[in-house]
Amino acid sequence: MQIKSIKTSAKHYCFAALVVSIVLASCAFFLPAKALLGLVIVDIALVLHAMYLKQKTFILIKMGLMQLLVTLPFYYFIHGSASLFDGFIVVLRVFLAILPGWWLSHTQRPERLGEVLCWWLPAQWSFVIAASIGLLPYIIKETKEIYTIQCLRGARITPKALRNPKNWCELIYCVLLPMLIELLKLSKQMAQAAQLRHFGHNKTPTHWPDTPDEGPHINAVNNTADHPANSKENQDISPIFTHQSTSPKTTSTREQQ
Amino acid sequence: MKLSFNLQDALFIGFCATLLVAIKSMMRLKLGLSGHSMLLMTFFYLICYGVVGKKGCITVCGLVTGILAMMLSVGKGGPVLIIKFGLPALAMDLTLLFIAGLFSFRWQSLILAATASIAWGLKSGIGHLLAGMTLQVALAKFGLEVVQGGFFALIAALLVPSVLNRLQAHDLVTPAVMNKPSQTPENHKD
Repeated sequence: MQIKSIKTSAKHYCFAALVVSIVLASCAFFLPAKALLGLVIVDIALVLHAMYLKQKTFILIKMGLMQLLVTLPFYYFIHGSASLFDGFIVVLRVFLAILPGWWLSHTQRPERLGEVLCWWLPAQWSFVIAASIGLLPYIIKETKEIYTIQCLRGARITPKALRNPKNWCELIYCVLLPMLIELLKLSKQMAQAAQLRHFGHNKTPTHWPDTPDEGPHINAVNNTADHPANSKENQDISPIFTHQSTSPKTTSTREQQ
Repeated sequence: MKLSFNLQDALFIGFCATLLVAIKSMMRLKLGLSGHSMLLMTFFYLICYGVVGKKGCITVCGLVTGILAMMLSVGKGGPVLIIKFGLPALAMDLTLLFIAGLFSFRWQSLILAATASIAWGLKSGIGHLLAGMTLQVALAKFGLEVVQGGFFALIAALLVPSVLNRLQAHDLVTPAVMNKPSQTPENHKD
């Protein structure tokens, strides 16, 4: 019962955060210039909240500066130096529109966001998204391995060689083509594995709940742990895997108890 | 329409989106060129179309990419990413409704790439106009982005047919899917 209430509140908190971020982002476009100061203060609070959760703000600063560097010269050459302030306000608005999204994705856990998104998505697609997030570490590892091996083989795909656009084709043939073959194989295996486990028979998908003692190391891998393809990844987190291999049905029975 | 994909196709679209997001997050700092995301985006969208071969698969791939990028906080993060990845995909699918069966796959990819880059520029152009940017500056930035994005998208579109040929040579893609637009245009309506 306790688990269920924690799960519900986490889900609603996440939904509230999603709504807040969308509202704040649209406010950045539609508020008059005078009211922007209030929005700036609210957004600073968001940044402080994210910093409190130990998130890095480097990318935000870099993005803001890049926007300024690209936009202000246009304003200077087309409208003259008098309208530079207008340009600054525009950049500020664009920046304020992006900031709530950054806050949302840096303070909410992926599996909760996934659960909220599943309210609108069909079950098949929420499974696909959960599976993709679960397989992300595997895909990244595989890509890096193929890249390293091809570099050792002498392919011209080192960061230095990639400065020359002529070598980009090589990157596609040496790294992306083997990865595509891998993905075709994986999707076939995984579709078969899911269908053998009666995927699609139950209309309402269930989710692994938040438990009070679980730390941030548990992420969306949970949702997809019961297929053979990413079992390599799950050896590292075997306690979760054993929980999950009892599959969504047990989740609902646990809730009923 | 979305439910008409079988699970394997859906998973392949999802994995393409994942690979796109993964590579984008890995390459971002290394290249540092504006518009290079159009290369990967167009490449994967066209591969999805070539492999799955159904209407709407590009849009779905775009939406899944946007959702994944939003959840994994790649780049700037947030709901804007769904529009960023979804809009070019939607534009490609809409164009496909008109040009399917008229051209060979190579020409289709080139046209789709051009449409995608225009949609890409349009997205930020509308955003800038909403933010109160003057029309001239917004147009100048729109032009710059379309040219940058279009360059990368066209490179991707030139590469996709040969990649699909190789996949086909390994018997991984059914030949009918790729040749459908040029050989039997009337079949494409279902």
